[in-house]
Amino acid sequence: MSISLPALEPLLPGLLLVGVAILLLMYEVFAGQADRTYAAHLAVVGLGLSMFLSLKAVGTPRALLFGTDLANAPLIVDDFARVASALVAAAGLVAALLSPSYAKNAGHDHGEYYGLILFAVVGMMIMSMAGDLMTFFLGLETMSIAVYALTGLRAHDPRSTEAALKYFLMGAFATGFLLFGIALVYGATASVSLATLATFKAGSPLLTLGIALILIGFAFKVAAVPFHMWAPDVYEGAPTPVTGFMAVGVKAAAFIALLRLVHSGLGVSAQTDSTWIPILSALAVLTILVGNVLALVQQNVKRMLAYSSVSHAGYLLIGVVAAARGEASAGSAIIFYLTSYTFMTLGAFGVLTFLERKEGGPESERYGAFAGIGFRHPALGMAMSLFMVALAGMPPTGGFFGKLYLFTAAIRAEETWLALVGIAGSLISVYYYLRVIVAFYMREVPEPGPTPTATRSAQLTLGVALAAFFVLQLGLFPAPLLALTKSAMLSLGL
Amino acid sequence: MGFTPEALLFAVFSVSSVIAALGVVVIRDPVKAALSLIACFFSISCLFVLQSAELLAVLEILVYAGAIMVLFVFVIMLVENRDEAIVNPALGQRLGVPLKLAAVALVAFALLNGVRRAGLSTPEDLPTDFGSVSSVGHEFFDNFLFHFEVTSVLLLVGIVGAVVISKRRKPQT
Amino acid sequence: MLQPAEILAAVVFLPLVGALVLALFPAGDHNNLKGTAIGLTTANFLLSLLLWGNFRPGPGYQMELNLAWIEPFGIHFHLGLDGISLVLVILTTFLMPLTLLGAWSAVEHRVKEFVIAMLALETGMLGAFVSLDLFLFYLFWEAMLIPMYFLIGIWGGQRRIYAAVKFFIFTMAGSLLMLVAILVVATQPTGGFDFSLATALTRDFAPQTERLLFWAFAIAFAIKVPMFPVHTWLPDAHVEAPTAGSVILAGVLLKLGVYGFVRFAFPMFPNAALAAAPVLGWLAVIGIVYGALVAWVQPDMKKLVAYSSVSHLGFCMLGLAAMTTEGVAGAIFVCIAHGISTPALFLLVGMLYERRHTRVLADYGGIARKVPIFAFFLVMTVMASAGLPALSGFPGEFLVLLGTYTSPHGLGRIWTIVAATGVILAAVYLLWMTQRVLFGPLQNPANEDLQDMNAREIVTLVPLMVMAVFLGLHPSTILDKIEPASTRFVQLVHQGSGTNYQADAGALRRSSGVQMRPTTPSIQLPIRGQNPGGPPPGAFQRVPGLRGLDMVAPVKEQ
Repeated sequence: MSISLPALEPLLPGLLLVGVAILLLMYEVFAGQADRTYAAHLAVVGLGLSMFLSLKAVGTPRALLFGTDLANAPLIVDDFARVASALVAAAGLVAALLSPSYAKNAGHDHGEYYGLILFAVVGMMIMSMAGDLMTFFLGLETMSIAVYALTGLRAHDPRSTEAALKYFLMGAFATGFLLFGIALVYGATASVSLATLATFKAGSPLLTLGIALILIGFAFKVAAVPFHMWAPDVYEGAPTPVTGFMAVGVKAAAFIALLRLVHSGLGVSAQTDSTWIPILSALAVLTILVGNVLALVQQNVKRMLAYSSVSHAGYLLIGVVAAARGEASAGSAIIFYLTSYTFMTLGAFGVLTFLERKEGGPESERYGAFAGIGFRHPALGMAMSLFMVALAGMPPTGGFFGKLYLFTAAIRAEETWLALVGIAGSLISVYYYLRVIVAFYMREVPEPGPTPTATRSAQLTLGVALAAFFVLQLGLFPAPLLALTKSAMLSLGL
Repeated sequence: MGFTPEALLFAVFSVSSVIAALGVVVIRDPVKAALSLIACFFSISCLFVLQSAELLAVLEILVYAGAIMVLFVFVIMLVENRDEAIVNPALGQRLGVPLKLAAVALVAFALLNGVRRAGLSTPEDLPTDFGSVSSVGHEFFDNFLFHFEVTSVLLLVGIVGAVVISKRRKPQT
Repeated sequence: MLQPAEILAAVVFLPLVGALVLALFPAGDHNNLKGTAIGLTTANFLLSLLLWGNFRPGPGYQMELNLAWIEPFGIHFHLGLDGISLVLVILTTFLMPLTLLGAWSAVEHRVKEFVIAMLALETGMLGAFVSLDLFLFYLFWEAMLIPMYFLIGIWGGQRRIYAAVKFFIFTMAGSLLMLVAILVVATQPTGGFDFSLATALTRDFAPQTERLLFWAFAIAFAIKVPMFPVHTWLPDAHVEAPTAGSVILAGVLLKLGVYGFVRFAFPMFPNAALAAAPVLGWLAVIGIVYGALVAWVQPDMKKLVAYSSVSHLGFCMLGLAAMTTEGVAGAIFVCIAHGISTPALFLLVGMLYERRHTRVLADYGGIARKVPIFAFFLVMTVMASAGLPALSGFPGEFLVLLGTYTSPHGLGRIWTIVAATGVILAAVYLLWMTQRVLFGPLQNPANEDLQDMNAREIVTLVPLMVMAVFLGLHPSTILDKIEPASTRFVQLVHQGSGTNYQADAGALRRSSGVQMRPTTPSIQLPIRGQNPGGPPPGAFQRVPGLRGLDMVAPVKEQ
């Protein structure tokens, strides 16, 4: 089969990132001890361009690459993939903005760092375009391996090394499940294509088992209870900007791929297979409740955010249940939620990056370490309050509108009880998000006692400001994103 | 399916692969564990032959048993052989063992049950050149070209990641 | 010249714009910050008086501003006023500058953040009072939670964090329930969304669903009011909040709960509301008596005033549960009267606290001789709060009792009797407090050189006192505005539920004995649902010149 270059044009956003990443790796050979901020700039420009190209193509017809029809094309570049690509590129962009000052502090200011972020984004993009399970798997691994490496970058800190090892082992375990599942699905259908999978009636035990194992693999990646054990240690140990990137990017990519699997692969519109709904519902409820309750008892802000990220995976699973019920708006709701979640989480980790102390250590991440920050650094305090309020799902933020959209989808899918569980979870979450605000504004500042210093960095400021802007924008004027998510879901045939 | 020589061989090699795999986990001496892993790879390779996947069988021996394991053994021998204290596992871990065993048993049961009821195809249904080098090559470069290409990116990422983590750099001032 | 609708939007958002401007001020210049904030809120008050002037008597919404906002969800930026909203808006804008003035010397640190929080809070409250879109209402409803949380948590007393978090979690719990109900209401059977209140009023639900939805709204509002079993956050919040926070909390925030019942919970779910009225009525009278009894035994002045709020707000809820024009109008009037007397009480307690750093009754006694001006204001305020005739507390409570007594459902008379004891108890605990603080021998030597009120403090309180007297003598000023809306509310609920109660628009004028303008004609709204006992369809009459909801009168095809 010959591929002409113009035929690759729909892949341009991804190819561009691969190119920039390789450029960064090659230049690293000659760079010496110089400052690597230029690498961050290059990565940001590349990601921004890639995002722009993805969004610009929205509305154009679907492109099938390396194949002639849905059943044999490994890559499907439709509006769904384009919107998702733009989303993960945005996540990478903000994460790259958060990185330079942190990397300098933590002593891992390498060009490869940004290269790995770009590769991870490429993997996420491939996941969103995957027309068959093998492509999906390759995208997932590209993303995962890059993120494993990013997690272990703070080589001097044993917590970072432990996190990387743990993440890697658990990730390999999850990959095992996933591959086994794909093999079983292949055994049952003699194909890895999602379109072919959709034509199979439910009931084959081999197929059911295969899909179950694939779902377990997903559950690991999004840290759904009971496959969440790795999350807190990994979140705590990884470099803070990477934690933010991993919390949003990996989750977004996994949910987007899951959405395509549910809509294209499981033949949901025909309602052939309702076995998954009770299982997914149980997963959602467990994830929301356990995630929120464990977040409640954490003393370390990064660990709290890790468990809160678990609980957000639970809210998103509610959307997946609604999607599996055939509710057309659930997919848009998931994409919308992921987008607002991306900005509010990255923003929160951005503020934490600002306040990171050179010596680091778990003590500097406890609630008490942030006493009085709200007054010492008013802008940071306002931003953090905004992100916490958004994570708690209060108006006028994107977090609120996202939750509203998700829960509406659940209600329309006649899963009102799931919406109520989500609401209960949100209420629990209010307490621990408020604790951050309490620490920032209401605790007495210990005298003398060290307090985190705010690192000045133009890139970091820009990153947090961008996140704050979009959190508000999505809450007050969500219509443009709603239109995007709608056209994304239309391209899946909904 | 009657009791054929293939079935006998399959039983022998599958049992030996499972035992060898268990050995990797259970044996404490790293060198012996590594040898057990080689035995496991070998058994799996034999299973591939029984499945008419000759190329895979050869690759299994060449790549895993040959290259990767040699590397493993080198690393084990080069790293100082310290006597690690055997730590009592925490309560949570001890509780987890039966749970994990139960999960494994469940998956195994479901799998056996599924395979038994699925009614799979037999080797006679396969095309004659199944598993040959040329047919695998055709699959790679015709139907799975994209996968083949993107694997190169994946490997590149793996290499870069490994280098970045392991490379010791001078702490920056 | 601005259109009335634009004035309304300006009144709502001027404080927020002011807050953003103040964010640019240097943090150290306290007087400048406070002065600018007071100027802004005073300007906003004057601006809101234009609303009063533009308001034409009538039951419908006026000065509506309806802009498309989030089209895919059927969400509109829809503001509008009826008489009930109007008086509550004026109350809010009136209290704001006085509160800031009263806090001039009490807040000495983090002044910039303080004035910003206060101004943001004002926008939240005003917006909630004039939103005619469920989404917009929820937005403002939640948005005012955050500044209040900061006010309690940063400038509060010893246990401020506990109180702030408790306040937040209680309110949020109710709000989230309400959110689910809003989503259910806004999801149209045809598949789309429509968050507008007008559409919500036309929807019919299965009885079971309607009951659940009503209680979801009712719990959210009952927590805010606060009604008897869910009132426990209020004393904590009041005691720990700074004076300014207490003033706004008691003066305006609690009224939002009552307002929510009037605007949303009752009219949207009339059947469930009428079915729940006995429960609400009982809870209200329990709240009246319980609040009064607990207030009586408080050693702490601020806590005493806090519990007196529980008791007074019980009257508001009783008036609503009675479901008569007098009851509802009385309930709103109690809201206004309580919004004048209780802030004054909190300001006075705050002034004492600033001087002596204690609020315990036993630490005072006999200070009337040392601080005669203070004593005068305290006695006046207490009398207004206790509901003495010719002061603002009287007409509202009287109307509520009257409306409850004539209530169409049978429990009214028992409630009236129980609630009337609440009036007596209020006089008891308030006079008891006054007596222990002001009169008797001056025993505590620390009170020997107590300073009397200064000019600023007098300027803060005089407008409140003037209003207390004025509303006591001319209750019709306000009743004129709220009466048509109350009548319409009662009709909406009764007709919506198919009961055959004819609200008597003239009743209020006759029974309260106050002179009112020529009565507005009784409005017949089209009936939704099956209504075999109702008037025939031909009997509808539309009042000419009315705008708003009445023009899109809810007609439900059977």
